[in-house]
Amino acid sequence: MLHIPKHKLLSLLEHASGSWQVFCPSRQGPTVNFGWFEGMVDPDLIPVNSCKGAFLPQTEELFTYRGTPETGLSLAAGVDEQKPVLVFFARPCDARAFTLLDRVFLEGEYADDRYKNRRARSVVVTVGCKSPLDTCFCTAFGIGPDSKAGSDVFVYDDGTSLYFEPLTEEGAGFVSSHSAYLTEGGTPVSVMEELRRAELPLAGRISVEGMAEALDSMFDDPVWEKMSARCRGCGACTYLCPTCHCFSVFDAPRGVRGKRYRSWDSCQFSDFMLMAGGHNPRPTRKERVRQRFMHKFNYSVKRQGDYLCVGCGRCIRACSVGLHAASALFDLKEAGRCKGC
Amino acid sequence: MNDLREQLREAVASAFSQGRVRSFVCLEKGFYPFASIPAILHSGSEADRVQLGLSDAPLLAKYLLDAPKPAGIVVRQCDALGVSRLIRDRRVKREDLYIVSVSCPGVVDTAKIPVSPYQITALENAGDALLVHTALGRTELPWASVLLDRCLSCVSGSASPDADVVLEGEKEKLPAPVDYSGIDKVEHMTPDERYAMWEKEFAKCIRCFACRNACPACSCRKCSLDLAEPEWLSPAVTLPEQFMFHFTRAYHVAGRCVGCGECERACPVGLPLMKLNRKFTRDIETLFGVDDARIPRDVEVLGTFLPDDPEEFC
Repeated sequence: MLHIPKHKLLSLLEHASGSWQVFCPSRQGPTVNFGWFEGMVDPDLIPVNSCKGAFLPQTEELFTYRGTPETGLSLAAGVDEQKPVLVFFARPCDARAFTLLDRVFLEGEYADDRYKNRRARSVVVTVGCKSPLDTCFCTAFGIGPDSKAGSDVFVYDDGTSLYFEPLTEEGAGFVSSHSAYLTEGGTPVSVMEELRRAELPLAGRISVEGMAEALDSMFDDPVWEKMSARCRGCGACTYLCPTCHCFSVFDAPRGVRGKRYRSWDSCQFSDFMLMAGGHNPRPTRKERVRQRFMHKFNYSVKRQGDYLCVGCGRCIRACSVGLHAASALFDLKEAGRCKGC
Repeated sequence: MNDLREQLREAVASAFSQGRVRSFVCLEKGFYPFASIPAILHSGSEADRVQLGLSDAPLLAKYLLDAPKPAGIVVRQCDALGVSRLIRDRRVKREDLYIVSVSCPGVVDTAKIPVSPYQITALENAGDALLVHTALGRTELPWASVLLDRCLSCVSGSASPDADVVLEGEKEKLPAPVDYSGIDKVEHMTPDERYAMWEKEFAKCIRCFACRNACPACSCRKCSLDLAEPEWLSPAVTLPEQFMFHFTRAYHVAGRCVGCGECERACPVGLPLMKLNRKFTRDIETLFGVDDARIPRDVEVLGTFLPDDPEEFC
């Protein structure tokens, strides 16, 4: 397998950034965050945020417009970066999440051009999770520290070197175009074994078996009231989630010209569903919290055939009042069990 | 400790049975056995859920906005400040509240315990140390090293808004002065360095509003920053807009910040928001000669006009 000493990784990425837009984790003070490459990379810690921003930027300009009644209206499309996207050190949960986002943005009646453009020419390099966190429960969703779904290249980290295993044609192309930085030889057998055996203590407490079916009849269950009472209504869980993908489109008019943007939006915000005229179909936290978990564990199963959660645990770490996918799955299961008792 | 919890449960149950409250804001056991979460109880039969919150206790005052009145609430000193803030901001009425004050030795931050939560079998307050019990034995950690940041500058003893019931535990943490060393460091930077620092921090912000929504001084039903018309804050998450958001937030709570640090605790990307808040607090203390500006007062320093105020701008 081709490998590179960890201390030489930066030079590989610097080279790569000549022809790619690199999205990777780097240390930012006390935390490690995913973001566009700015000369730093940290493969060791699991980032606070997910890497969905590589394909679904928090804010993007769709087009600019200009016009007056006299001159008429002219539009100019927003600039789409020409370089393809390289996601470096996604985690197996993140890579799997890309496949779920693909179903939303690429499959079905409408394909999202911007997402499609970025995604089509991209390469996802995933690093195996040698040190899962106390909040990780990806195995509940059939993912694991060595899962390959959604990845083009898989990286094994033995502490001193990174071993690159290409999984797709695009991945092989990326690896071979950077072969000058890589040395052939060896298989990281012990790392592979370590990844296979890695235990996720939280996963044992969480099961999604039968959850989608159980939720079919739980829309009016009192559990939603109880769960949502502590929700503070911020969007931390949804914004850090690798599978949440809601956005809003809005204009920024400045006199005779302006821009149209789209930005992430969150179903947990009170004005997310607010309509002209003042009607709000999800007026309280109960409806909003219910929407979040019903979408993840019921609607998406019906629509796209899979849970919209990968057990990355980011919402567990983000929520200041302990309302997250793991607590929800636990509470919903309890509530389902108690039905009729 | 257990005694205090028992007293607390009795106080909650009797508040319901005497018809003093329709709801009770308190802490209960969360998903992780040693992390407390907020709960809103609706009957005395739920009093068994009440926990003191030895570790990771979120602040509760803001839940009073939505809790059916009259509402009970369990407060430690930090939360008492938040309740006091809401009363003085006229968001809740004192007569609609039933306040149970508990003494607090400080709240453990489980993130500061170098042991996986799954290995912990019990946590024990042993005076100056926290005893962490695991299947493998016992680890002893200095008490001050495992506390939430807010506890390190506790306002203990000075702030309670005339509680209805006061429950005393074994020992109360002594008041500690606010640590302004971080503020000194920022003040000594050149404007360019300071700008570069905030630029780097705000670039991490994901605009989730966790800071605003956790803050007991940010209690508007409809935040001006959420308005589509007029649009004070664009939904476009760009650096200038991030500055706009964070400075608006900080200025808006200036003079009303109770220093609880819940904004910083709630921030999922770890922005040092208390650096802004503490700067304001200290300026108010030094410019207006106020003693501990975190404590809400009937006469607000920045909310008062006196005809004989010195007009130094002229």
